[in-house]
Amino acid sequence: MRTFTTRDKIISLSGAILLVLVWKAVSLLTGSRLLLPPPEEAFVSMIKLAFSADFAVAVFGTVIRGIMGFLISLALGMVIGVLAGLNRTVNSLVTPLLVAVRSAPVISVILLALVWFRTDFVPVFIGLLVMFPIITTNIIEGIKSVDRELVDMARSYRVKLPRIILEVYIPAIVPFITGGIASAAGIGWKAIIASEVLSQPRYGIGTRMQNAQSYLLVEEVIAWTIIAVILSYIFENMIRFIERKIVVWR
Amino acid sequence: MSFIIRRLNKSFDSLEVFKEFNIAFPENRVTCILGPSGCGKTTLLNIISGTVKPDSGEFSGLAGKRISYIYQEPRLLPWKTVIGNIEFVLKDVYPKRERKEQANRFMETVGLVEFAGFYPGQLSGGMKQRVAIARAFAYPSDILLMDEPFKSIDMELRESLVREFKNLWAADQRTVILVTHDREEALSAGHEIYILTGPPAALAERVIVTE
Ligand SMILES: Nc1ncnc2c1ncn2[C@@H]1O[C@H](COP(=O)(O)OP(=O)(O)OP(=O)(O)O)[C@@H](O)[C@H]1O
Ligand SMILES: [Mg+2]
Repeated sequence: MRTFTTRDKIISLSGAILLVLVWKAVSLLTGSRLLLPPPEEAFVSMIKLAFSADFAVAVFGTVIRGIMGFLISLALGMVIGVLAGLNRTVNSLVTPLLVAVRSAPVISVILLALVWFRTDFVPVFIGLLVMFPIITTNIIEGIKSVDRELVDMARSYRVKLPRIILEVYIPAIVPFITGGIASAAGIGWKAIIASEVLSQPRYGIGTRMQNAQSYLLVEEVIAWTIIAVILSYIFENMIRFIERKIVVWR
Repeated sequence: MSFIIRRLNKSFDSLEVFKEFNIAFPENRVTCILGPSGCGKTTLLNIISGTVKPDSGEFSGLAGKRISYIYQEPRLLPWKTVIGNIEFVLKDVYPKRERKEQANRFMETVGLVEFAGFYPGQLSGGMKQRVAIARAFAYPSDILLMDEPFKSIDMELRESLVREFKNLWAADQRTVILVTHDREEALSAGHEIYILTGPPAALAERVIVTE
């Protein structure tokens, strides 16, 4: 596994500082704080937001929708992924579904979901649709990659089937599951916020972004964006941390 | 008493690997099988271990027998430690304490006690194969199958592994079927040698090794 040295960290930090400097320079050049407010204004706005009354509920609303969409995707993905990974007929049967769901434009699914569901549930549904194919595909790949030779070894030694599943199959697909979870969470998070912008649930990051935009509070839109990025970064690190705890043999 | 296979038939698509094939393995002896590549040696071991289904055949002396198997590759679970890999095959046979004792005893015989907590990824090829040997002997099998277990191992190490195998075998003298390409190895480790031709597999020669 790749480890970050102090040197890598310093370089990444310089990259981040450079980004802020370029932002500052461009905002000075445009000279209009309506088009692109300078970084310090976005930063102040972010601090204000963080201490405002509804901040926690808005963040909590989005995070909960993300977790719900994620858990349903994971449960569905596990069942369908395991069945499809073990059985070719099931695999051929679900492939069109996975391809269709994966290639459908997110925006058209949001438009349909707006017609079908309550505003609160639309982002959950979108998160589900975006994450489910990624997780399922990863689990299918994981099962296909299970080493037949190890399974034969276990069968020769008359190891009982439940233990073969638990101690041979599952550990073999864990890295695929965590990999799927990490990429699904990143993409799902963005889709959920986008659908909140359109569905306007009572509390949500997307809702607040849309409000800020309609009052032309560009610095606040940027502040929410940075908050979304920070949260996504935290989630990704949590997933990687859990992965390292489970996959100790790598 | 011996373990006998009669009228074995097995085809892969149009390829007949076994056609009315007969063979017998004496109990508590090391029987070596030599033969050209593709004549069906691995398939025969897999049929005995139960991972390949024969088309037909009579097996006497096999029912209820426990099998352990040493492959050309170590076939260790990467997510289990050395002791975890040995215990993996013992779990359905021994309660926890006996299992640990048994695993420890055989790790000791192959000289890997200090590596009990290592993962296979942290071991050399020879050490991994030693774990596979310890696993096969720790498992209380009636028949031990070995499919060119020392093939991918260099000369010097191979000799010491063959010596280790002979010592381990001497301790409980279980029935062993050893497939090898190496006549020297067959003569050194085996009591009887079958030379096969094929496919379809046929017995060309039977050699009894006298010491
Ligand atoms: N699962 C399978 N599907 C189709 N053909 C197979 C399968 N397993 C073995 N065969 C064929 O059966 C024949 C015997 O194979 P086997 O592996 O038993 O030979 P072997 O004597 O062990 O050869 P080697 O010395 O190279 O290991 C070969 O021609 C092989 O291609
Ligand atoms: Mg072979």
